[in-house]
Amino acid sequence: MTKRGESVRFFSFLVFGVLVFGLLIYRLAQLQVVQGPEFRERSEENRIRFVELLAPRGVMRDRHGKLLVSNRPSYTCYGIPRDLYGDSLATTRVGLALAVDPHEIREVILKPVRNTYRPQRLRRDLPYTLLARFEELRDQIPGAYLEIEPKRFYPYGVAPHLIGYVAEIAEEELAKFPGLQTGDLVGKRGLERLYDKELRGVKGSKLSVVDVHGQEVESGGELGRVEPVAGSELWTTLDLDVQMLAESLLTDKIGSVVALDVRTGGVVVMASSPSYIPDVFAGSISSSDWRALLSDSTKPMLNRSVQTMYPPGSTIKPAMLVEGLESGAISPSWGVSCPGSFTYGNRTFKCWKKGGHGYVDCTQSLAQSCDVFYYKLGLQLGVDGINRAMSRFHFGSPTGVDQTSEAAGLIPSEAYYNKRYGPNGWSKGFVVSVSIGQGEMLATPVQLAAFAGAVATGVWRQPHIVDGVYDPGSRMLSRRADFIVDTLDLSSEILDYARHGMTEVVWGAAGTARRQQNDSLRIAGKTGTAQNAHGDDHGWFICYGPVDNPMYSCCALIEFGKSGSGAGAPVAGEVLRDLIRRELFPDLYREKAPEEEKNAEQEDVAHAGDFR
Amino acid sequence: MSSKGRFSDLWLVLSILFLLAVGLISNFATSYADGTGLYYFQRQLFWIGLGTVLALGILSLPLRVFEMLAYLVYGLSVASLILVLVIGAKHKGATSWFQFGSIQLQPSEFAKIATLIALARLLSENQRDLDRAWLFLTACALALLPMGLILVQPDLGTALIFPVMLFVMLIWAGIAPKFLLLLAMPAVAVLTSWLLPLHIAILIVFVVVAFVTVRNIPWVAVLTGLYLAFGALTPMLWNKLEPHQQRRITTFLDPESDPLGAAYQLIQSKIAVGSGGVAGKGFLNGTQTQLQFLPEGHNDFIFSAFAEEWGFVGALFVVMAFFVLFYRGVAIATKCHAPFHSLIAIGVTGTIIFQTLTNLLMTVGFLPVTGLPLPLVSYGGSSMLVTLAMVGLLFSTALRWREY
Repeated sequence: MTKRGESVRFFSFLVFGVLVFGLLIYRLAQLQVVQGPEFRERSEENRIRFVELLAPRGVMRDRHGKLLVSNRPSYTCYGIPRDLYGDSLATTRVGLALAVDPHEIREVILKPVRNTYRPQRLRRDLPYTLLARFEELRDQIPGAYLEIEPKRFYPYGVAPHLIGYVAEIAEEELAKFPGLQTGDLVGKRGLERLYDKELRGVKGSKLSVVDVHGQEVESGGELGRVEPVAGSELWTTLDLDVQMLAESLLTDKIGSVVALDVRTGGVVVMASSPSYIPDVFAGSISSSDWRALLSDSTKPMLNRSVQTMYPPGSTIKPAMLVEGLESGAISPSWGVSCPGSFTYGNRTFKCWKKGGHGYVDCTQSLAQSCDVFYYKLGLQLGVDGINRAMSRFHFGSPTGVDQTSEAAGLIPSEAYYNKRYGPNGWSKGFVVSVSIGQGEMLATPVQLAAFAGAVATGVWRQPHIVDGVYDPGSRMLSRRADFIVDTLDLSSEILDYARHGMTEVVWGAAGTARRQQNDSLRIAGKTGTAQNAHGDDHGWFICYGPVDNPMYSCCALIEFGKSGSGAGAPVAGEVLRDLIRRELFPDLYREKAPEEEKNAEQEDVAHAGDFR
Repeated sequence: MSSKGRFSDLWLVLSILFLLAVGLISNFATSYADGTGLYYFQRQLFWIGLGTVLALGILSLPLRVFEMLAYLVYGLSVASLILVLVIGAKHKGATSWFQFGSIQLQPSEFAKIATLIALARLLSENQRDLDRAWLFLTACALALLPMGLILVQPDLGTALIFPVMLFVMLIWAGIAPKFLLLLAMPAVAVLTSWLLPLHIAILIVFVVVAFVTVRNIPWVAVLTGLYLAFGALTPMLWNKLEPHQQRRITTFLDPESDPLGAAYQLIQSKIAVGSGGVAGKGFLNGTQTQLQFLPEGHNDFIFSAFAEEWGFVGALFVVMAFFVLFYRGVAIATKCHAPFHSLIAIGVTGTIIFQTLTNLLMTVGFLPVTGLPLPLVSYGGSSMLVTLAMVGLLFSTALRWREY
């Protein structure tokens, strides 16, 4: 490069440098010299506070759009560590005002971050009594303030097991939920857990200037704000009114009711009893309430519809009959003579009817629930034949309904017996009691409801509760369509034997559930009475209807109910008939609607206005 | 002449010592509140000591050695960048560290110096080909390969240094202006693609000026095509990104969109600098710093902490020290006879000063938060070692300016 070129290059670099460094010095002078006093003031009262704005969790609706779960405003108290920690009198006062141990506030919440102005949550969901106390003491507690935050609200308190609950995330869960921090709320069970991501929404934030007392400066205090994004709504297949009916029918009983729409697999009712009031979880649950719930021997937290396995008893007889006919083990004209008991090897197995049923054919075997018929059929099928009979209807594995901790149930097989008792440790006699749904066999109420639906329609459909996720922000509805639909490959002739038998259970002169006869609605069903080592027998009833055009299936289980016909059938029958009536005669129910909706949200009131 | 040269380099030495001292006391001050002040002070002192030994070692070696080893070192450095992606440790979402016991090394820092030397050798050896496409393309490849690997980590701030280093060294070497345009056009296209009128206006101005001045029609066509291609590609690529990736970039470009992170830092930084006033609040008296309003106080925002406690006067000294570094660096590069020496000097100066200005303009709210530390001042082992090694190279060229 020429000498001249070099100096041009040198001077152009120099000019560039002088300009940029000059800009920097100009800016420093502007900030420090011109605006210096202003910034000095700002740094002295400092206080820019960064506040997270919680997103309202998505609501849940029933199939008519009624709210099952929504949100209501609640007061949360926050404290500024820098202001509060140094002032032990103030922490004591805060503790008194909030009814929280002052020592915990100081040492656990504030101490790790004592030099910062990052607000720490001291207590969620202040009750009104404490709110008044806090307001009284407010002037003496610098650095504590209230924020309004959304909190779960259960307008009817229905279906707590199925809805689940939210609570503060546990330390060990943090890794499982990327993006969540200590103190955030997260779904713990049920739909709240499974759809946590959809329901959660996105937190917002605001940056605001606060005064020495930690209060936001009144004018121009807010420097920036990012609105939280509400979570998506869950559109469920539940029917709020019938759910409430089912829950009331279970009052003072232990048990479960599940009803499905057999045309879709949608869960219309899923009730479990004993129950609990979901509001105890809405804020922060007190440890004594929590302990009481956990130690209750009736296990109110358990969703018996999906989490508990029971011997299904006689309710599985239709599956046995179908397998017998399908495999050719028996012909449709097969029948047995029931003397009231059956002897196999050196053991005698009783029929539930001591005097015996006399001669029973396929239809009557179901209608009268003859055990001897099924002992003999079971021996013909063998343990693996019974396994096939049950597996066909998806027993022995979780149905995949959108609930947490679903139990699989159990159907014995040769492999299972070999493993459990050793290859020579069991005999064919084991099969006898399994043939009537006793012994090793276990199933859940939701499996049986799906089974009843499969018999009714010839198609097994995966039960599900949520069929749509609706984002109110973008107004986008995504329908779930990933449900398993298993066309069972059974001829309708064979299924008709089971259907006919189940119809006779209710309508036959000797049917075990003939008390469920109702002039207007023809439903079919099957009773079941499961022996229970811990007390009275459990009572089952599975049913579907109307017989000619099945719409719904229902399964009721009453623990210690003594019998299926006496305890299960009245509950399942009433729920099923109510569902069918509501669909066939909607006008009958509409008139009541505005009355019932009194307490519901405004939207629903507006909706009800259509037929006022 | 020679006495004047020595005198000027004394200013350079004093400036660097001053900046190192500023770094030490600021590291002490920013971590004083939580009781770790002495820890950071000692660690920083250790790195300065190690870096000084390294710099003196470099100074004692003939520059010829670096020229000879240039491509080997470059190759090793690229290999280590690949290795860190595979087995590196994660820190703040980026995979950029090798962990050796309690010491972390950042290969991207070492890639800077390796690339610098490789570029200097390539450009000095092929001065006759400065208007040939192959040389330009090879230089680009040398710089963009490590940049790409660092972008994957992802470390946008450090990756940005490479094109700047390339640009400065190409200009200094005297590359044909058409190639500079080739480098600049895609950058301009990407930056303006979000604003269509501006995008088109720049294109029209370019085409008109190019036709009037150069009249090389194929060349103008190539540049226009490149410009349009990058302009069109950017929104397409943008839409392909996942939302969280997009957010990372929008926050990078517009910190106000993320008040939790970047905007909060910027506001607190501005308050810290501004509240320092003319004379500062005094050592260990900066409320922003001591009350921990200022995030990353010993790292990216160390200048804000210093400016709060030492005021406009202190800040001016720091800025002037960096200006001396800049001025002396350019002067040394001009003075060197050997093109390799000259390119080393300008490369070092350009890299350090680019980092300095990006960091300082960020702390005063003129640039988005990039995560680039302030050379010689911020806390950090790898950064300190590499900066001092570069300073050693600069001194070496100053000492050997007569060599050919």
